Amino acid sequence: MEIIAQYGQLFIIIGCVVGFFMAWGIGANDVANAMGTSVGSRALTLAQAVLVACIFEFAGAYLAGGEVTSTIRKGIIEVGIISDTPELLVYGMTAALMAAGIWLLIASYFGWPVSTTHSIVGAIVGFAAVGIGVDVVNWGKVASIVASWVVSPLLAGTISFLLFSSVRRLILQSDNPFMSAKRYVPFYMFLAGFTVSMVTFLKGLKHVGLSFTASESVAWSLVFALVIALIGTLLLQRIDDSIKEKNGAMFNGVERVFAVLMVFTACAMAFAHGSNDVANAIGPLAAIVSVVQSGGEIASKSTLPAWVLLIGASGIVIGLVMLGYRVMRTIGTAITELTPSRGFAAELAAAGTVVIASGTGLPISTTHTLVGAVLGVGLARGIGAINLGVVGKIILSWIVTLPVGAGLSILFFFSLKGAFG
Amino acid sequence: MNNESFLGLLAESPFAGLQEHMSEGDDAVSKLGDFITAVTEDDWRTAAECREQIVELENRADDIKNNIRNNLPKSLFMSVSREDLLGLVMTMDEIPNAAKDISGIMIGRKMAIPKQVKDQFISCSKAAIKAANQASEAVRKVDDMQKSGFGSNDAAALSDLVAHLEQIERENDELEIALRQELFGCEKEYDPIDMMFLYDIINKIGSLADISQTVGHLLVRLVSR
Repeated sequence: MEIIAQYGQLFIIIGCVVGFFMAWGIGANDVANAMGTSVGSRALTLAQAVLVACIFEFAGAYLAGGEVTSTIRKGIIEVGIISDTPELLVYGMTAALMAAGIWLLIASYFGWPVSTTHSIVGAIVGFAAVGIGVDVVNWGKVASIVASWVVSPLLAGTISFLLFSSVRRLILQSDNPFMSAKRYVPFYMFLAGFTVSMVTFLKGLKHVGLSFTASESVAWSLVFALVIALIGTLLLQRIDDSIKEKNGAMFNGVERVFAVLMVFTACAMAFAHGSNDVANAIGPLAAIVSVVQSGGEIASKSTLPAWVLLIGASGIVIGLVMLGYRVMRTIGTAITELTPSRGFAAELAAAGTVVIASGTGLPISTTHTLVGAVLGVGLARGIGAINLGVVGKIILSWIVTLPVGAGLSILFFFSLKGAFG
Repeated sequence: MNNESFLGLLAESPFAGLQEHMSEGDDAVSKLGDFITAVTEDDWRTAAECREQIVELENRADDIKNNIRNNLPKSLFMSVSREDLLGLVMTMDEIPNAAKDISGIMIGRKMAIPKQVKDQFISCSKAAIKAANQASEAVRKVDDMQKSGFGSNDAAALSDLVAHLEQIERENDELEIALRQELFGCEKEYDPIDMMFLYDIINKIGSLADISQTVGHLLVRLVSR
């Protein structure tokens, strides 16, 4: 208790710095993955993608990032058990942020496809199980999180398979694909708008002073999605059925219709990514802040201060603007086999899955979900060839990240404990 | 987290290479048509030029073939069977090879076509060339099909193309039989060894049509799943 009172301000400052650094890292690197399908399929220019990402990552993080944040903050650890030694939670969460941040830095340097989510969850479980005791870990919750890592790519793959199959049946194979595209694409826009707004209305917005019942949420989401579909329909009217150059690739009318759709799914994807991944940075920070501000009391009921979400949201945006756009530029110049009609299916499926996970408070990996979604399109015979070697590499990095994140966080935990007593 | 790794998931589609290869083969065979016309007109300079171009096209087709083959590791997950695809490429590669072989033997031996069978020889080779052109058309169709996700409409269009290809091959067969009969009637007037080689060339031209037909069948097998 005395330690908290003595060093409280310092703990918060350190927490803010490492939390911001982590968010910055997510923006610098991870966002590019979330936007990769849009930029890679040439549906969006680099500038458009950065703009969309800035606005919707921020919105997603701020409006719908609360649930996952609370899981990271107090779901993995049984905070009740350590109420006598709250400083351990502060050390641990700081150590977890440091561990995950450094591991991400190393991995980015070497180009390993690691997940921010897996690093932070590994780090938290690591310091808690080894540094404090195996009992403090809420193993049931951890099991459900790990299960969601398997389920989310599968779910996204299934959805993208169905989405692309429907596109194939309704549009690509119809007698007049261009007219069919114009007719059916607004429906997909509706779907994107509905999923995102539903999760936001149901789970977000509480901390901005708005609260909706389930039926109100459905009603508002329907209205919102209809507006989106209407705007989309208007945008589609300007498109004619001819082959034109767009962002350095040649597209026919059908693909250009899908490129408009991809602007919407890119927004959904950025929103989904912001809502899920911001927690990786600010979940631990929120834990530190709540312990210090309540004067050493581990209050599991206290609400998440909005400024903590703001730190995460702005960290992501700053990281994106400082470094992330470069990674996106690389993607935008690489040759890709992903056309808008395929990219959208993967992106919408991934965004839907991630945003639902965000709503249920499950921290999942956006990149892995996208990988699952791309495989789904491939299974629907939408993509010429998929490199399974890369999938293996991603799975391997998944398995390696957990013990490394845990190990580093244990190291930092004992260092901090030693330093502050 | 690394972005190259994530988009590295999408391997280069093998279909573009397929079409590229077939287009070289198609060009080589069309050049063979010019070559044969030149030979029958006793214009050896044009024939030599055509021959050079055929060799070059065949080389290019070989490079593309190797490129396709080398970029098809077992870890590749494709919308078509890997074995079917490799088999198709190998068969397709026999088309420019045949063009090179035929032109090589003819130019090496300064082969003269007996005037009694000249017209028949030309129409028989034209039918074989047409078969190869048609096979190339079918390959293009499959590339389109990949773009629309292998629809049933496309499958129907492809089987039409292949049916037409079979018809061309049958025509070529009939022309070849007639040509052989005609040649049988006058072969005694010419040098036996020359005639031996001429029969060999007729065989090879016939097999060009056969290969083209096989390409069509392999394409149907490739997309049917």
